Amino acid sequence: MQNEQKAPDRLLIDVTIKGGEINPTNAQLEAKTNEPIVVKVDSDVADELHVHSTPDHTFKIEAKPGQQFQFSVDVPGKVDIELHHLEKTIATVQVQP
Amino acid sequence: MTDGSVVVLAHGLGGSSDLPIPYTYALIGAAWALTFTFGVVALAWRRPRFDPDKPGRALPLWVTTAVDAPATRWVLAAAGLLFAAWVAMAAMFGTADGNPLPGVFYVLMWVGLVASSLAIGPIWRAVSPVRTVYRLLRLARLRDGRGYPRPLGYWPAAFGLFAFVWLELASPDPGSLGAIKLWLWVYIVVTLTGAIVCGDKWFGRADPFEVYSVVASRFSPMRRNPQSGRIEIGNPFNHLPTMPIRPGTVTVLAVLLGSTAFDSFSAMPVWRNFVDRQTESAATATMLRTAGLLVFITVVVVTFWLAARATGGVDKRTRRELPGVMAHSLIPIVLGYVFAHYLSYLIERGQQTVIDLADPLGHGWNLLGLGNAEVNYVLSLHPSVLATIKVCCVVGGHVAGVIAAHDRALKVLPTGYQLTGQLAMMLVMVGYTFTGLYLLFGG
Repeated sequence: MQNEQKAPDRLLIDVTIKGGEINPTNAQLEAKTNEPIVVKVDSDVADELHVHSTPDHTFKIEAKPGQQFQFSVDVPGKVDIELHHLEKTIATVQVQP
Repeated sequence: MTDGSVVVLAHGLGGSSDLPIPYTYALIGAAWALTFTFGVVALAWRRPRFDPDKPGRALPLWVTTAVDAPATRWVLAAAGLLFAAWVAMAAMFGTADGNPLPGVFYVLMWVGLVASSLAIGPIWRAVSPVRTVYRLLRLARLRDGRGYPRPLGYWPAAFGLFAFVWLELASPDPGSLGAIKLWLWVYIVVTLTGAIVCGDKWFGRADPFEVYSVVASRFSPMRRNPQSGRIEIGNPFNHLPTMPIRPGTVTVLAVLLGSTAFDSFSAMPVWRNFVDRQTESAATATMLRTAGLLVFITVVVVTFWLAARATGGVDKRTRRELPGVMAHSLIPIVLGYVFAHYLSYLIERGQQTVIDLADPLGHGWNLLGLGNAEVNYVLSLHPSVLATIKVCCVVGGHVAGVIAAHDRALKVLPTGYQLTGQLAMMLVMVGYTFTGLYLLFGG
């Protein structure tokens, strides 16, 4: 019965963009449907974060540290999270039911 | 860029892709494929059974009469032309967001065409808007009577199919409306010019969509009686060897199989990391992906070509003909792999495309009440069902390919070499299927 108060599981992805270097890239991650997925971004350039889930999500990235974007995915599948202007894939999340 | 938001999308459609199939599914599929293959070679029939001349079960005469009626043909052609005009309107005046063009192009024209051709026959001939324009404008009168050069065979179609998969899998931005529109303009100009110069045979041999449609239709149970032309239902294995053998037949099939495999492969982190490390700009990444795509297609061509020729007891001429003679046995493998790969696209993105078509300009139109419909993600929501269907498609296509190849080998290989002469082909087919399952499982 102790588990009732437990915070729901969530997936946290820490992204740093500095001088054109991106960390991580092409990471392989797993999540559950409807589980919150949080992307924390420290960036020195403006960009766009594209989440290729169904439906797609787009977030504006500014050139500043500590930005947070949260979404959840309700249709299972492989979801690419991409930086639009730098044209790099940060991570592919396997969202399982 | 002209279209406002330009996003690098997988297949130019955005959204998520299928989950990888579980490891055990891939393993069970591979075990069945292997067992069936050697079962067929060692234990199956020893005399050829399939013959394109074997009649099927004829459908009532009115079916053939109705299908062949000029009125039916004109209605179908007009429907195709109207649909093309509708999509063209969306392409030219619609917004980038929710535009039906990418869905029509990548889902309906690519996967939908295969499904409908497999179900009822080479449908593209009947609905092709370019053919209709050619007939309406009576462009045949511009011909100078040179005809279609025989050595060209299916090569223009192989090239066109390659151009399609290149746009989808290697080009910098497959989802951009501008790129798709440019591709379609080039397709229309090339197809019409070709038909004016070489006559209407050009459509059947050089139009990539028509050739793809013919390829898929060869495994359809629906066919025409070779003597009477009457529509009948028959064993698809009797229908399969009617795939015309022309220069380029093997390449057409290799483009279809190799590109589908490359599609899976290019999503693997190994490949993506490799491309990221090697390339500085979008242009070099495109070149690298183009090279990867070409390698996959070339591997299919070379392995199939070598395997078909690897038999004893035949003279030089027969050996040269063997790859073409065996080519039809690749069709079920291609079909199985295409459905394994794109079934969820066809069902789910297909629904989205139809919904987008109901409101092509983003003005809130609601044609046939479809504008507000919701997509039913029936396959994605049941990943184990989808994985089972995928494995069944790959293994089913493989088994059908092996059966077709075995039967043809009995017909063309000399006595004494019928068993050994098949071995290389069987191994290559097992190789394709193992690779296919490995790629679906995600490495």
